[in-house]
Amino acid sequence: MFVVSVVISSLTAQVRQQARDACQREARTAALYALSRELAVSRDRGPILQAARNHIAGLLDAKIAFLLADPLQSAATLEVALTDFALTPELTALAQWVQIHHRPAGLGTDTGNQARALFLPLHTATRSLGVIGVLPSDPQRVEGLAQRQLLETFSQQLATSLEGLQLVAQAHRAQLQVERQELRNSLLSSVSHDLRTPLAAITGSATTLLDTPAQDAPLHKELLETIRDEADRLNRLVGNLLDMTRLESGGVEPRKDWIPLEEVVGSALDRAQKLLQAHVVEVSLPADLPLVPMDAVLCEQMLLNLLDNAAKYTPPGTRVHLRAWAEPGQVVLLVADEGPGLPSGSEHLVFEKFFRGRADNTRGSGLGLAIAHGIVTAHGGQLTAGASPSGGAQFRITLPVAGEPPQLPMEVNE
Amino acid sequence: MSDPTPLVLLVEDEPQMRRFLRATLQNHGYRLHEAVNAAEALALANQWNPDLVLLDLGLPDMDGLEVTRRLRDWTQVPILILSARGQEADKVSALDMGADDYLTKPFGAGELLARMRVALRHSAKTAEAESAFDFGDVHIDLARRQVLKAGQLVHLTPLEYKLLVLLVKHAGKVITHRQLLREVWGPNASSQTHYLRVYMAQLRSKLEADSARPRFLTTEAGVGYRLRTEEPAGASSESSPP
Repeated sequence: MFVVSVVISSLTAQVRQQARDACQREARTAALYALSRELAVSRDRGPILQAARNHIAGLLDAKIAFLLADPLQSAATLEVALTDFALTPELTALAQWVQIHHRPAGLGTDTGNQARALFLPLHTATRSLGVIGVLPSDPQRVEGLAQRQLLETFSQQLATSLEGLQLVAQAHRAQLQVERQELRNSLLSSVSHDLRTPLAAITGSATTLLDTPAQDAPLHKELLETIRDEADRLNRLVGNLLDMTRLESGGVEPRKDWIPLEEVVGSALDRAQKLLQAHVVEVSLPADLPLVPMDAVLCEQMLLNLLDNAAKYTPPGTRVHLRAWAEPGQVVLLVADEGPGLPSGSEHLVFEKFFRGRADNTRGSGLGLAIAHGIVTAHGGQLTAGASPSGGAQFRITLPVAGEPPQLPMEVNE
Repeated sequence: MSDPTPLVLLVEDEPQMRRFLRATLQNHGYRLHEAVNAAEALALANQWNPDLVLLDLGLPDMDGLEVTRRLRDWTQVPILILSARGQEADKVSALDMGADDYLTKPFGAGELLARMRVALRHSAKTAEAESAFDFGDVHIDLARRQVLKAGQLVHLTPLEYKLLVLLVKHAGKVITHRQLLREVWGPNASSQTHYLRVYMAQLRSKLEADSARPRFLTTEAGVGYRLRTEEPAGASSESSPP
């Protein structure tokens, strides 16, 4: 009887235990399922960590910490990504140990078990992603085998999600790199062609000069002029490349002064004299235009590039118009020509690097308008392209005018 | 300048630039000493007391600005800066430190010789005051403080006149914003460049045929202004001897 009762009670205990286990398993499975569902929909680290923290904290009544390795740094360097409890130097050292040895440590383990918290590695087959720290309100909550298993399953789940994130980021970086490489290649081939053409003309002219008798004065002059013009072209191209590089690296911070637009127009026209000698430039600037905050050097370059563009793409003898007026909060400047106009649909493309309006015109570097656009943008303004009323191309520049310059001291003007 | 052929000290570390400058200068009758770094330049300047210094800003051993400063400690020899585009801030520093003018690489022989002539002319006549000055159809009678355009009297405000006289005094040379502001408005105004710009605009509208395309009162963006006395070089070949 005694035996029977012992057996029965032990059986009952077993059954109860099994029932409890089954219950727990189901709860765990449900929790795990809920967690993995949340992890699956998150594409950022923040929400993933939050979700994992909430699930584990709720299940074990514990405070949680995540210390993660930076994928771009050494795997041994941990950064605290989220924590609910104070990470003392001792606890941090324990986490570090876990990261290096890929084994749990702290509360309820063989290593550092006097600690109040348990640390588990977050790792997949190939990566050590970091460490999870668990500080339970009741230490017994994490000491049982079942709880430990549950925690480890959670950790694995989390590690897999984090790894997925890293892989996506890595793939994205790799793709960016490929695109950048492709851009660099097309840039290089375009640039090297543009650099070589004038160099070829210079080399050819110079070697011919060396071989030509000195008395052939007309030929000498022609060859020398070729050398000078091609060197000029090379100089402009190199200048454009430098400007573009500086604009793209974000190294251009306009040094703004209050400047009369007329002054910048004047210095740009002066520099464009040679380029525009076959064109007629008509300037109309109202006398009462306000001063505009501009970087004189950059804006001169911007105008020069627009004038250069007009000179290149319009027939000799046609006119180029420069007009400006004030609007509330800004000044508008129009540069219009009487050429064939922009190819339809290319109004946005003209500001792309290395875009050339017409296939038969390769005299430009395809950089001038991109640079002009970059300069206007750096001033907080807008540069747009369109058709002028006369059918040619028209570029519209707006430059913001905020506030007023300090007043000039009064001068008696009798 | 007692010697009729001016002595030029060329300070440039690039051999190909020295080759071009040597050929050009000797061909135009200048005597020449060459230095490839700052230490050599300072020693040669001391030894030869040149009439003009052509100074590259990018030297291997010392900043060209520092060379300018050290030269200005003891000599008023005209200094022409040779610089690359994009070095506006350095150019301005060198000019404010006492350099006379600058050339942006690459430059043509005509441009170089024109700048050298202006610099040498200024150093030759620092003492003698001129009584009149002409550009285009503008006549400035410095003795009577009168300005005529195409024979007609032009009314200038006192500050406009002061600014114009300063440009005339440095005719052909660039003057920085800071130099002009200090001279005309006083030392406290040296950063108020818009004063200067507004007055330059007024001068242009009174004296230039087309103020949006000034032929004489020209702007050097980011640096300052220049009263241009010769047509821009390069279009026609300059060949007149010094």
